[in-house]
Amino acid sequence: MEIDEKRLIERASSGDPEAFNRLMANHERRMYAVALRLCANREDAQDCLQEAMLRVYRAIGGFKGESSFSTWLYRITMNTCLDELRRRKNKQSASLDDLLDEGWAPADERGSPEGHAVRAEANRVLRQAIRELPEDMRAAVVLRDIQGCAYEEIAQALNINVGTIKSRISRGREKLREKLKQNPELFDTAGV
Amino acid sequence: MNCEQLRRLLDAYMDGELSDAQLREMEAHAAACEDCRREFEAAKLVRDALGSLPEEVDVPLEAQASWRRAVREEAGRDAWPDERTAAYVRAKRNSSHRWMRAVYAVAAALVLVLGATAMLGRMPARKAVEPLMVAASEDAASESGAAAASPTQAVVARDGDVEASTLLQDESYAARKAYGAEDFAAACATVEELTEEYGGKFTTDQTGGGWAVYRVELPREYLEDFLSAVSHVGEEQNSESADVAGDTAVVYIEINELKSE
Repeated sequence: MEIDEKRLIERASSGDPEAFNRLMANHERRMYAVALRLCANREDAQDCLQEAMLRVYRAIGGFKGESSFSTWLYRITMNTCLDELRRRKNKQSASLDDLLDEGWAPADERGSPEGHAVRAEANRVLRQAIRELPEDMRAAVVLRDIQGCAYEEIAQALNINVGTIKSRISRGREKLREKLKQNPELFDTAGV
Repeated sequence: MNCEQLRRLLDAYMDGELSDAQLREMEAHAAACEDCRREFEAAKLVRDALGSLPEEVDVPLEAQASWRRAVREEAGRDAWPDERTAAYVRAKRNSSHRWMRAVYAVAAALVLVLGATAMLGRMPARKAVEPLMVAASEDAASESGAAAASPTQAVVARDGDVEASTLLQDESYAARKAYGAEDFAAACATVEELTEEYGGKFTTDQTGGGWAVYRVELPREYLEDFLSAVSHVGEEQNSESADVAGDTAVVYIEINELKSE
């Protein structure tokens, strides 16, 4: 797989669009997941995915393997989404009804049915709370707590030092906890 | 443990970096302090809710097709698919001796010129239709002509009077798959795009609404990747595979439209 990927990267770098498309077929789902969680709606996420793919295509010749390929892709995806968000800042903003469910359904449901209901509600509150985070903070929290990236990887993807990333994520989480605490019904059945 | 110590450990808790002893201390403090209990529960909710979200999300078919098309356009719309030949030659050239490079460069230029001339001469309708049209086999493209509005219709125009069974000849195939898809047209377009992407060619029968079968011929080395990519077009309804020798593999892909509720 690794060797295949390396070969595809080489071929894509020499301008072969079919090799590029095959290479990216392995990564598009992760890039889309990130875009969905950063953008306000599905259309924006799809636009960002397409724009990110074009940026990757244009830049792949310059990929030198200093970071892992997937970190490099996160970096381009993040930059694309953040650019898009900044551009649209004045056109705010989607109402809660417009917000997408896509990408926000749990991958697995463990535990009791009561637990599911609480988590679904927590999920809804968090989805909105994440959108209210400042963009840079949102990007870091999404990479850490949803995508499961290591702090170092996030630092590379966002081009910020690890210390700043840690404090940004910490403050982001604090804001999310504050939002949850404004919904007392979430705490009546949830035991620690 | 006091309140301040507990709050300082919340990030480590969310990162899953606490020792059992630290966790027990936090729980003991939280049990005795209402504010900290709430804070700790909130941290647990954030961790569980965000941690249960998938790292990957299926890309809708139209979005998959859309970025691929954008990349092809970026690569040079007019040159495609001959651009692929040129790119292949370029890739080869990189690993060849210097004197061979000149030969390949001339060959690539010839391929482009001849290919473009041939296309212009034989297929005047190509530019008028969707880029996907290019993905159809040459026969289908040239016979369907200017009346074709989409690749699916183009294929129907060619094969509409052909019984489905004529495509399913008695031959050795490497795999035969059937998928149900709600967005039938998008599923068909994806099969066609993927066929091109993996260096294959297809013929198809679509004798009725909501049903299509594709006979795909592609290099054996791409067979596995192709099947894995195709598996996203819908839910698998049937699957057979066989071990067939040869450099080229034949695959049948059947698409059935699923009625959405």
